[in-house]
Amino acid sequence: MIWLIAKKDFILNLTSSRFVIGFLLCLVIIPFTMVVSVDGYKNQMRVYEVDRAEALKKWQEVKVYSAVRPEIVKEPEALGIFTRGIEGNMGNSLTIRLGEYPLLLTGHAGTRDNPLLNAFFSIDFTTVIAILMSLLALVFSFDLFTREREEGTMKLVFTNGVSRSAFLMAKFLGVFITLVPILFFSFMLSTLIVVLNPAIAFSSAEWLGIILLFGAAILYLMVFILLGMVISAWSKKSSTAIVVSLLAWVWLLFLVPDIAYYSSQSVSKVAPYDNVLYSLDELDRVFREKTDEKWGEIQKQMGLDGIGHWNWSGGYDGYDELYGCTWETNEFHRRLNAWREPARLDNADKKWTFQKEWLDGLQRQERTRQVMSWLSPSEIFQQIASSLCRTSPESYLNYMQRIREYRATLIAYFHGKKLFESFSYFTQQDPKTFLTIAKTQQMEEEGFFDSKNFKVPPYWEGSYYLPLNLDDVPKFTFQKQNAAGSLKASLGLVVGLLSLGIALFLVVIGVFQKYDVR
Amino acid sequence: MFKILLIKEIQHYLYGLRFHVSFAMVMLTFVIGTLSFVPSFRQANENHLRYATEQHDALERNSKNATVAAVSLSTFALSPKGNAIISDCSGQHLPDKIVYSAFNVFEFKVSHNNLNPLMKTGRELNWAFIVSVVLSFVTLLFAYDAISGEKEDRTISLMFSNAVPRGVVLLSKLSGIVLVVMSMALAGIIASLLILVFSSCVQLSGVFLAEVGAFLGITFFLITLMAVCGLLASVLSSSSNISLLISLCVWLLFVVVVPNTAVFWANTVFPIPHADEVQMAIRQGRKSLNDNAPQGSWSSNDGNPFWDRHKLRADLQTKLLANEKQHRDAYYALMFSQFDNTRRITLFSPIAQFDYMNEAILGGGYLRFRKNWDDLHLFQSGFFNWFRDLDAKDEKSPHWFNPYESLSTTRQEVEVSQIPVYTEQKAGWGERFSAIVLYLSVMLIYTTVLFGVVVYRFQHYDVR
Repeated sequence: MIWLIAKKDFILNLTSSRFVIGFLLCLVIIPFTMVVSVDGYKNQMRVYEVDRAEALKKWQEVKVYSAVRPEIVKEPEALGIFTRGIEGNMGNSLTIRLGEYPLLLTGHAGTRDNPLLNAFFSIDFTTVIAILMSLLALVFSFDLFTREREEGTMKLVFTNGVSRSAFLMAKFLGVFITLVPILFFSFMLSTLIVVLNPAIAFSSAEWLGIILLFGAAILYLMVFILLGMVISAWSKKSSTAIVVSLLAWVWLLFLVPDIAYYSSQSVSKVAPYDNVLYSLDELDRVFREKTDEKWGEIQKQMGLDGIGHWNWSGGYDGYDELYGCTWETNEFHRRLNAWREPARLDNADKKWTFQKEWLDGLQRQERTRQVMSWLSPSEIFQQIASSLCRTSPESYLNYMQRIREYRATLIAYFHGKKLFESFSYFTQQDPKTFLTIAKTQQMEEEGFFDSKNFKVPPYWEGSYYLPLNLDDVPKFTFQKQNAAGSLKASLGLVVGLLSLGIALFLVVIGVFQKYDVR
Repeated sequence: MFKILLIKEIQHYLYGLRFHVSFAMVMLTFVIGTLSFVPSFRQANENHLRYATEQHDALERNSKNATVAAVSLSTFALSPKGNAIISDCSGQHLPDKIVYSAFNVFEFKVSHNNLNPLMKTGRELNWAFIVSVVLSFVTLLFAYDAISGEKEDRTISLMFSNAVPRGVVLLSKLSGIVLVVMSMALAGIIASLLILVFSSCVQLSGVFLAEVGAFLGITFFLITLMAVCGLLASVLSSSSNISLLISLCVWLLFVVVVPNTAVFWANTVFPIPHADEVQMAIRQGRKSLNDNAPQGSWSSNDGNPFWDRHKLRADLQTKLLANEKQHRDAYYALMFSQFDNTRRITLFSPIAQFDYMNEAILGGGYLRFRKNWDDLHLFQSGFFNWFRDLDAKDEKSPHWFNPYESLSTTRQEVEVSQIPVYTEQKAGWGERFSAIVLYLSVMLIYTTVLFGVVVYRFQHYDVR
């Protein structure tokens, strides 16, 4: 009997204008959304390839260890085509530095070349599914009981000895089997757009992620069908049910997420990063002052009036490259680095306390938003989706944590090889070829440098040296979470959505048992 | 007759469930939105104040050397605006910082300083959002069964048995819906204003109240248009269910589909080169200039401004700046053109028209950014003239202008107060109204045409 009623409803639904319109809506909105997302992903991939090649080139040109500052370029998340999550907020690369902990990725942010286009409202596939499927579920279920009651067919059904719970199940099933094909079609359409694009290749884990996303979407669909049934069972008239259903839809889909977003910022405040930067600048200023003091101190210890350089390139984060300098200058830099680089690491630790506090604040605020937005099933679904598609804040933070661990490994490597105390930290020139100041003065007095035949020895120029062999330097690796890991990470939310569905089911049973069918 | 029908319509709506639920929802959203706005606006003001202080300190340090003051990069940051409670005009997604010196306006930045990067950006919960998303929806919900619903209840045929002109019926229904929805908007705005007054967050100045008045005006136009759309859905079908589906499609089209396709149109119809291609062109130009520069162009001697190689260096740096400026300015022009053209496409949606009108009346969003961008270019040439005049008076300067370094121009100390600093000039009412004309015209034409179709359809509507 359940199947008979469900089949009747299914056939009625299939021939209804709501089905046609729902189907057409998906047919129109999904391709547009997917084309924009695919285009964005391809652009991200192009930028990734360019940046990676540039990072590799830089790495292969390193000639001294003080220039060993690996650049990490994050590969765009392919599943971000389906759920953008926070991908658009973040950069794509980061240089590992001794003077600073990796905090957030910088580099090319988002997916658009024209940042002004961010002003346009843009949604991803998951959001389209969340909006359309919830609307269709409500539109198909709001009058499940009220219409039968208004048309007098409900009495007729119950005179045939059909139990209320069987009727309820049949009604649910009728709508469910009507909407699942639309949902399936939407997923097929979107995956077709991906498959037809030769620039995109999904791994098996990613396909599995899409299947899991489909499963979550089914669960989400069920919740909204049940919500529509609850409203229908509570209402006496279809006109009342539709008004309540649609206002509930606007509330849950469009207002709750934004209310959660803004309220979380009031409840859990975070100072802007500029404030952190002021503190970091102050620490850096103190560090520079101490370096200058140490510079004078070492100079004094070595009895030098000044530090002269023949060929010196300097830069950010301790980068120094010296060639053709005197033994005293090289020794001066060696002693300075032996103090300065560990001090730079200490300074980074001090800076990290401010940065971590800020990062913790961001996490707290995001957590508050997540919890507040659980009032909306669509937000629970979106959180599950971004977790499955590895574009959630948690996935991103895991990635950043891994980069920090890598930085620690790199520092251990520097310490292990005693690089800070060595000449090789800033020069490849053989120490045996360093001339003393006394020797150079003698050569100068002898007119050696003025001689027409004087030629700079080739080993006084950086171009003489080949890049370092960095094979033994630790490399950054990141193992992407597999589908099972993603599912595990979102399991709590899946259980939450399922519990909501069960609760709604129990409510609809309770309400419908007392429903006046006359 | 019109008055009687209008009162009947208003009573019908006011006593209905949809009004009660919608009213509660709208009020709640207005209150929560304003309560969230107050602390975030305070925080934004504090941040901006601190930022301005830091900028001033930097200027003070730079004033020790006039050239340093001229070549140092300054950042103009847009200040938070009290009228953001009406509409933020997508300000959080648009550039809010512009970098300049006396030699160039370099770039604009979209700063995410106040936004949590771990959070998916939400839409501002301001009045414009509530009107464009919630009230537009509520309006359709009121209008979709205005005709078809009455037909199903058989009340419309009863009404026409009293020889009531169809035009009057239509007009009374339209007026009733608009008045009821506007009353919700007005109640919400009053509640919001009360919160703002008690929190002393925003000064209710004459300008602000004029902006509120203008906002109510364009809200009226939007609500009228949405009500006309609802009535159209109602006269297109004899079943209220079909009318509802048409209304929902219209709403989704205007609120979700059209705005969501903007990026698609931008990329396919108005494509621009990729940013890294422009960067590559700049790099190539830089390399070519460096390769062809006379030997010694990069030499410097900090102790001697008149060292002749400083002239070569200044020439090279000026050429490098010109190379970068040429590519960047051309790219920015393309960006602006792409954005403007895409906006024209989105004008198909009344919600977009409403948003752009808000931007015009509040002098915010893209209008504000572009005005500052253009004004800063004018300011920059004035800034350079000031520096050039100052340098001309200094006999110790060789007058070789180098846009990046303090090597071969005046090193005199200047009073901080003498250094030109860019300050924002708000868009005048004239500018604002001229910006609104296009959008308002489109909305009025839209409303008139659709209402014409509604009248035509209703004249031929089978009321039996």
